[in-house]
Amino acid sequence: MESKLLSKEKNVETVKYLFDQDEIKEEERKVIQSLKQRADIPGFRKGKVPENILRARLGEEYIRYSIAEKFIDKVAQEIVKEKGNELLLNPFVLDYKFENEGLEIEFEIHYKPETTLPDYKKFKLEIPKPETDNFEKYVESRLNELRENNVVLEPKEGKIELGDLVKLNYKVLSEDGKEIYKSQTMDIIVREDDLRPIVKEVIGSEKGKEVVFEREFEDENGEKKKYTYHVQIEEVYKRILPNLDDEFVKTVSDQFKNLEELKNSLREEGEKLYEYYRNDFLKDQALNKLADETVLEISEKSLDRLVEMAVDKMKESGEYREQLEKFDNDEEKLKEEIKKSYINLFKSTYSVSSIAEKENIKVDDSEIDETLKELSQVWNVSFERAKAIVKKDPKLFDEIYDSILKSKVGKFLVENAQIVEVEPEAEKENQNNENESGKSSESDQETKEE
Amino acid sequence: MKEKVTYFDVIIRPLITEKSTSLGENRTYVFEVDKRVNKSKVKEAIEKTFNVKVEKVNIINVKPKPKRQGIFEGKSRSWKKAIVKLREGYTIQQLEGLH
Repeated sequence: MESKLLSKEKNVETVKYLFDQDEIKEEERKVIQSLKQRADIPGFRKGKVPENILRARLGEEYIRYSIAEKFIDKVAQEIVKEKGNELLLNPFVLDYKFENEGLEIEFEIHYKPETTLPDYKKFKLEIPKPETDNFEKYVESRLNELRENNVVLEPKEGKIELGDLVKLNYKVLSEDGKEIYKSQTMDIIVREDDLRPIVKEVIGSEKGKEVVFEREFEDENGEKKKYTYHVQIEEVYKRILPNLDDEFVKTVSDQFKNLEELKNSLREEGEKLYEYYRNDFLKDQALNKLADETVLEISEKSLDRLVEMAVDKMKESGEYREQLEKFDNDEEKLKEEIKKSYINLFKSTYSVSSIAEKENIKVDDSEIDETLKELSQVWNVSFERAKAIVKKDPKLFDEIYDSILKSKVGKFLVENAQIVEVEPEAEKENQNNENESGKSSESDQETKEE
Repeated sequence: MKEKVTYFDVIIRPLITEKSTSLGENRTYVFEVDKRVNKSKVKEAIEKTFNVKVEKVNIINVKPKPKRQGIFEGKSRSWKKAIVKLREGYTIQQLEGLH
């Protein structure tokens, strides 16, 4: 077998593979043998058909096609074996033909695109300055939460007011009086910012009374229909929030002796949360910046193939119509959007893996185990079971590995970046500017690719 | 009046089977022939159609076989098989590629 590079465009190579007559004859012999075993020709048992009858029945064209198919499989397997890790897609056959010299097969090979990284050790990242009373606001909200969780309920006979807890059940009747829904007994807290009609309508009513109100909804045909709600008030309670004092603290937790200690603990909690938020915020910003500023060398041919495959998959799974509707039934718009998603995905993925390789950032087993411990709690299984699930599913393992690697690379970028605290209003403006420039940098990328 | 069977009506089709292909190596060919003909008619037809000389003709009257399709029972058709051996040096070119 000989190979000859016909053309190279960015990450796509077109290669011609040549097989001489001896190789073809050998393969032909094998193909005939295999066809003999499989051919079902009347008057002959399987495997007993003479070659000339087989050729006459199946036709020379079919036999040549079978031979070509074998060579195509052979070459495709060799390409994948040799270059598996470098490939973006499986190789595509463009054409094959039998010439006097032998068989020529043209393959299109798509490699993973190369990336040009920005100067990632000199990123400038911005974070909003924390407002001085942010932590105090956090402490206040947490204390309110604790008060709400430890509220005292006192049965009430009078009218329902804001702040009360109401036990009720309701049923919904259609325009023709048919009961279409009946609820279980539920509790609602009458709050000022709760705009649900059921909450607004019960204010002023009392225990044992029925409140009736109507609501209008549009059905699937756009027709307006009226529904009547019959709300039966079972119990009304006055909610008494406990006073914020040392006695309250002792009922809530035996860790703290007084209110000051609780406040200090909540303040520390707030500071820790802020730290997590700050790190995540900066990491995301750094990774987005990395993806935006990375230049991707990818051919339109690869993108077209990927888009085609994505659309075929959508059609197979039945999602295609749904997705098309989001783009005003314009297939070109849908394809354009899929293309953009792939570009962003590759920029993000390959830039991270390039940096990880350059800076020797790796994911070790202990880090994977840590993540699996967290996942086991989310999945509600033991750690050993979680490990077994991931071991059976290489794709899931890769996802976990990639996620940890991305986080580590993000951390590395933040550690090497210049971090600037900005006023919160200035940060909002900068974000808007970045979103707009992000759109223009995408169109620059497209121009470069063209 | 009996309908006359001319020589070009005699041969209906050659039989291409495992057995007939192995016989083909000995200048022997198998045909389905018209039920009204006899050995001499078969000989004449083969010699005129393929421009060969026939050494021997054997005839088999293939009896119908009972068949069933669901609840319906019947029989396959009966037909006449001719095994024709040619004289030394003669072959039927048209069937050579198929044997």
